[in-house]
Amino acid sequence: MTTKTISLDELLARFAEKELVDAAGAEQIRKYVRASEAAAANPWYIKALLAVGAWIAALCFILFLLAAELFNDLGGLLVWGGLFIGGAVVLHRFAGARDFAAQLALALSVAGHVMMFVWVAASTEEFAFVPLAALLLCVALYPLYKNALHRFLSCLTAAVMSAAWLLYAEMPDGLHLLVLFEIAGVCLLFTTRGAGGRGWPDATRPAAYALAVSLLVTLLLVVWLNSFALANIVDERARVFEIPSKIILAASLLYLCWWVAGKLKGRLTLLSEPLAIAFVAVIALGILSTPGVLAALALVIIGYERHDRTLLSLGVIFFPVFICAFYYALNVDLLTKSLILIGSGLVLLFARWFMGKRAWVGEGERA
Amino acid sequence: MPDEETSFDTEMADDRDYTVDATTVRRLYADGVLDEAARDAGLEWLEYTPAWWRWANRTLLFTGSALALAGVVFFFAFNWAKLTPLVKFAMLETALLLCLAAAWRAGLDGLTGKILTLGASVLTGATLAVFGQVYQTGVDAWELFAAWAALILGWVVIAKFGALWLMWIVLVNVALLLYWGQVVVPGAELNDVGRGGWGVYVVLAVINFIALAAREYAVTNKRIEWLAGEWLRWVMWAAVLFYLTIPGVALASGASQNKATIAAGALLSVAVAIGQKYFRKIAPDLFALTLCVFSACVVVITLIGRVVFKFSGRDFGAGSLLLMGLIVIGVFALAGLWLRATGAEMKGRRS
Repeated sequence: MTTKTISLDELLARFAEKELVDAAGAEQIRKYVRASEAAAANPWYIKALLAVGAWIAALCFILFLLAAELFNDLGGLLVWGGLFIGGAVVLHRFAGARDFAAQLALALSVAGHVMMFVWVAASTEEFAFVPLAALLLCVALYPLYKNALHRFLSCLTAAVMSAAWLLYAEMPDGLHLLVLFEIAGVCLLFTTRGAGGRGWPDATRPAAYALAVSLLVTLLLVVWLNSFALANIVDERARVFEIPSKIILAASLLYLCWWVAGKLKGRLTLLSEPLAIAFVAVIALGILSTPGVLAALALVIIGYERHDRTLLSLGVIFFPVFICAFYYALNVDLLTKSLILIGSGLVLLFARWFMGKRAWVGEGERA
Repeated sequence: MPDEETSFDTEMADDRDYTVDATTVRRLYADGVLDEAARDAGLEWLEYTPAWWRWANRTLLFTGSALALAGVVFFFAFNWAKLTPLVKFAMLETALLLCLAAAWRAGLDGLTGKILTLGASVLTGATLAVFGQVYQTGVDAWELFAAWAALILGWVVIAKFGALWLMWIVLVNVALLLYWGQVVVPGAELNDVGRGGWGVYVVLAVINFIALAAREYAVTNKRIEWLAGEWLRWVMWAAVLFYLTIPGVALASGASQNKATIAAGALLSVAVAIGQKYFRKIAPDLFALTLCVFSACVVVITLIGRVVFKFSGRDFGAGSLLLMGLIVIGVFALAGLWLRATGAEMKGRRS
């Protein structure tokens, strides 16, 4: 992509001159650009550092309560868990973005969540209620605890707990439903502009990233379930048959090709040759490949089109991680796995070679 | 993308004028702030030219080649009994020669030639592995990796390709790790503290640091473009810190105090000091700085934990655990605060 840069004032002046944006719209743009600049000063890796700190601190708090014998019964867990989460919400609301208080609030909330999960599991003796509790806490705290990192962790916990429960309950086919929910959420929140076409509120962004990460975690769990790690634990019948996830993810990739083509409309229409080639390549990948490769490609495409380095990096890093995990999957032998990977690679290389030969290559770049 | 925390910071009036480009306009549209007509007009003023094909070309080449090469490795790892050794070698060597011939034809200046050289390098390793399978040579695993690294060194030099260079460094790392466990301290694993397993961490940290320093020198002073990808710096810097932090934690916690861990602790202090100066002032890089800070936080917290639990009277007393929780929060909060302030300072210097 090539582009020149101009000042925001100049851009707004041109919009005003052509009557494309009114005064309120200009203010909204100014606010958006300011907020984006500020967000760039607090990148994901600093948030990840803070999250690690919060987890370690939360572990210390839980050990403190255990050592102090403050919960010798189940009621204690519920009370302390509730107090920790409530305290975290109040602290975050009043202390705002002050670093120590924000970090303390996050640690208290993580510790509170763990205590609540242990209480739910112990009192119901049913793991099924734990993901339900995680989901309820996520829904309840999302509007109350207005912190992007907390919202991300809360959504991710609910999704990962659901996947873990499906494995525990030996309902691995349910993982396909989870994959469907996750990829649908990712496509909805990253590729559409929401009801009314005015864009999704900022508050939905942590949930969108959590869905993207949980999609990758779910697919790794599928591979793990089929691997040596659980070979002696999980009944062979409980191993996952990958085809439903492949269909779901291939359909998502078809949608993403259409979405990208729609953004270049006027140059590449729905029935145009590049889109047709992309559709054929995706269908071939859907038949030959494995869900991890399809999911990584989906995130790479969204990341590139949205100029979102986080999503792009997630997709790129997932390729080697998934291939390493895939090596140990037991549901197919190494020969089949090698054919799956070679086939997938050849589909992509053939698509590149074929497109490179077409006269329209570069049309999009020139337009 | 703005979120609540940053929106909070930006409520204050800010008269600064910002610079925008096509990415800003496309994001404004994607997030519903601009309509289609305004987006199209904005992109026209900014002389936006999409580069989907260029990106797709590179992505398809990289991912396609990576998947195909991984598939080849899986295929030979399967050790298919129906294939005779002759067929196996014929397949591998034909593929290797085809890669080299195609790379020669495509030229090493373009991405295709570089990827084909990378393919030939991977196939060299597969050939060595199959050689070991067929002839049961009985050589140690480290020799395979060392031979692999030695055989492809010429291609690494002429291909001028960052990914191949990194692969070569990884091979050297693996060869050295295996050499340590199989020759220097036979039978010792990486976590075999009592038998000198820590020493390899220090050696590997030094090797990776030298490779990183060479990369930084080449990019900064010699303007060598093919090493300019920041990801190369991040991977090598993360490796240096990882190799020093693990024995550093062992030293700080008191789990192991020998020459290797003491050397690692000293080198970690030096690495953090150099990293703090270099990635802040000379080659500003907030991600590399964050890795550095994370490493320092882990060792500092381990050290404080050791002192707190030592003076608390009994190990892991309730009060000590509560105090440690608060200290951890304090240390990480300070780290986050410093990193954000440093990020703002770097941005200020750039603009």
